[in-house]
Amino acid sequence: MATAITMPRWGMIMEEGRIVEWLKKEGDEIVVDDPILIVESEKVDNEVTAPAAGILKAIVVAEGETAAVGAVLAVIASPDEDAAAVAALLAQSSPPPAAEPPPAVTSAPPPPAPKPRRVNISPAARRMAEDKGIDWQSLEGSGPRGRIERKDVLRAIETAQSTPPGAKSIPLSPMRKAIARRTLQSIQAPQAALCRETDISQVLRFRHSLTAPDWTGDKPPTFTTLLVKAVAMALAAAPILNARLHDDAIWLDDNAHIGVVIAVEDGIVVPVIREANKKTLIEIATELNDLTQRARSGGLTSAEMEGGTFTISNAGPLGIDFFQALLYPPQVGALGVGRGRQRPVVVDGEIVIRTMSYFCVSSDHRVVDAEPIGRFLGKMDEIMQNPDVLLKRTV
Amino acid sequence: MSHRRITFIQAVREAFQEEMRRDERVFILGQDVRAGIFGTTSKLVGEFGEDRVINTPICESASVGAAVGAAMTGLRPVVQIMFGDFNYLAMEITANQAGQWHYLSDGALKVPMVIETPSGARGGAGYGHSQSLEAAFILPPGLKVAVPSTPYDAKGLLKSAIRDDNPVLFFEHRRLLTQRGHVPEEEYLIPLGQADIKREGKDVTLVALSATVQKALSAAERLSQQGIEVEVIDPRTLVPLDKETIFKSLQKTYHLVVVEEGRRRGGFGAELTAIAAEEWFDTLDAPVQRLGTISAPLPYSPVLEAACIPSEDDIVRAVLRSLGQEE
Repeated sequence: MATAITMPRWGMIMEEGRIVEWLKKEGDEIVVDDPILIVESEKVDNEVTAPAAGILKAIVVAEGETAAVGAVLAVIASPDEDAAAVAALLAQSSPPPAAEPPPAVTSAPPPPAPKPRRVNISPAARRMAEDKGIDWQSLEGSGPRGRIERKDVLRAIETAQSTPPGAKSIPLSPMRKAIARRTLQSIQAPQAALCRETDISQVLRFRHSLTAPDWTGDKPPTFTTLLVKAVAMALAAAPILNARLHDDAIWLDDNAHIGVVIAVEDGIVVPVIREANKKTLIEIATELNDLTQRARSGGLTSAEMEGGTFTISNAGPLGIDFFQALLYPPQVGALGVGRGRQRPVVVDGEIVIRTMSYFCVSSDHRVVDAEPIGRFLGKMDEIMQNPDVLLKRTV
Repeated sequence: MSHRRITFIQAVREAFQEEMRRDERVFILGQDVRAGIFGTTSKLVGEFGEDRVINTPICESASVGAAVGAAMTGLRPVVQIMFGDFNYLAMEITANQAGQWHYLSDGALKVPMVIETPSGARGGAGYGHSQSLEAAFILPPGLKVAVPSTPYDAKGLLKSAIRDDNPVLFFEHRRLLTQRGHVPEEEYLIPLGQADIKREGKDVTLVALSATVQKALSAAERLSQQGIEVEVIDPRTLVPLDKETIFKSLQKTYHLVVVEEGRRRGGFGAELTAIAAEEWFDTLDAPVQRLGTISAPLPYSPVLEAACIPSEDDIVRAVLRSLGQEE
């Protein structure tokens, strides 16, 4: 029986993908789970594996081209397959309307960093771009195999002409477009931020005390690592914050899957530490370190960025005092942490110097009111004062 | 100006009449030209006599050879080769003698002659009676090649061909012979080497030859309903080729499609595509699309014949491909 390889949907927001590379060519013999091609979605490159065995009969979408989720990319069939069956599958060009079975995605080992791509441009487009001083290397082509055509250059010229004098026009990268879409989506949610000034002197001391033999990591854990563990624990005190809103239902999760905002070149990514509530500090430290490194080399899979139930954004290293983190829909809660600063504070009637930081929780007001946030931030404060609890596996 | 509509055959016959009246050196020879198998030379014998309308034996090399000799010695012969396919029988004379003696004689000799040759696929005439071989004559030096697509063009081009001092191949597609078109009563000439824009458009330049011009115009009409404006250019002569008109169009559309009924491999489309790549590179916004007949003998079955030669649907698809809207 002929089987179609279709554009997978990796995560709920994926609408289309671009073929980076065909690992097999037409006529190749295929066994189940063979890597067939590499697809680039908004944030990652991933392998698509063979759903069936047979001969790769036809490749429909060429390298560099983009196809909608569900669109037929190629057809696998047995060597003696009736051509009509292959043709019938090929004819099925429109994506199926409903949810798809989960695609075969290999999440490990991390794929290699994408190699630089040759930019294709038609001769006419190139001449026009060069005449008009347009940097065509940075343009996105709308033609076959991503070829830049005259209309793409014309669009760039139009943009450049509408750019005010003294300004330079830079087209949005795919990542910035994705961020633009997600933040716009986020801002649709009625969200508020509630902040609590928190004494982090103890937890910082605790952090530096984590050395061998008690701490088996190479170096003390990052402050973000401690925050992940603390948040996973504090969410147990306010479970409504560990949730996702789906239409008219709230999905409360048994486990805390904590997304961590990581700055990368040209944007941010938010990989998720799964079941952080069940993990030890060392496990979280190791995982977060690995995710951070791969985020910066572009080697995260989209599976690693999906399914979060709560998100942490630590802007302390940027010198930010306090801020309202944007929610990451469909999540209903996010914690924004500002920088720690030494301040004179009154403790037991005396002025002492403590390192203070603002913890701000953004929440979707449709789901979460102030009370659980107060409880959550109170619990965070408590953990910050008694950081030894972070060494426990569970609360 | 009159609005007379006559057939391609009548237009060609008028050209013969006018030129034979005008210049007594003009004469016709070929197989059964007095009766006129396709009608283009019928009844001429009545007006011009048997000395100027000469039936020949079935031997194309002899007819063309006789014409070359007559042309060299001062006459202006038109030799008819009844089916284009049979030109190969006279290929040595045409390619090596007719086209080259002006040079070989250091200009002492001229070879002012026309080979009038009905050709192309019509109704499953099959092997030996269906090919469009015009592109085979752009290769030898010294020959001019005309491929009219309308009665008007046929008359104007044939008159110029007869007056030209070089050998001219004049291809008449058999599917066009019975078609009618506007031809004025007044005398006119169409110079060799002047293309005609059969339909103006801004999106794609579609160069079509001979019978494919009609298909190209029908395809353009359909595409127009989708908002795609195709400019249809008929070069009318392949040698000399009016590159200027095609280039001007391309500077407007940036997309080139070429269609012919001759074979695609090594055909006129291949030549034009090469010119585009060499000279018009900066005006190509997409790969050139080339349509022609497949490299196979043409079948007797009309159904299979139609499958071998470019159709109106093929042209529509090629235009869409050029615009990146299909495949």
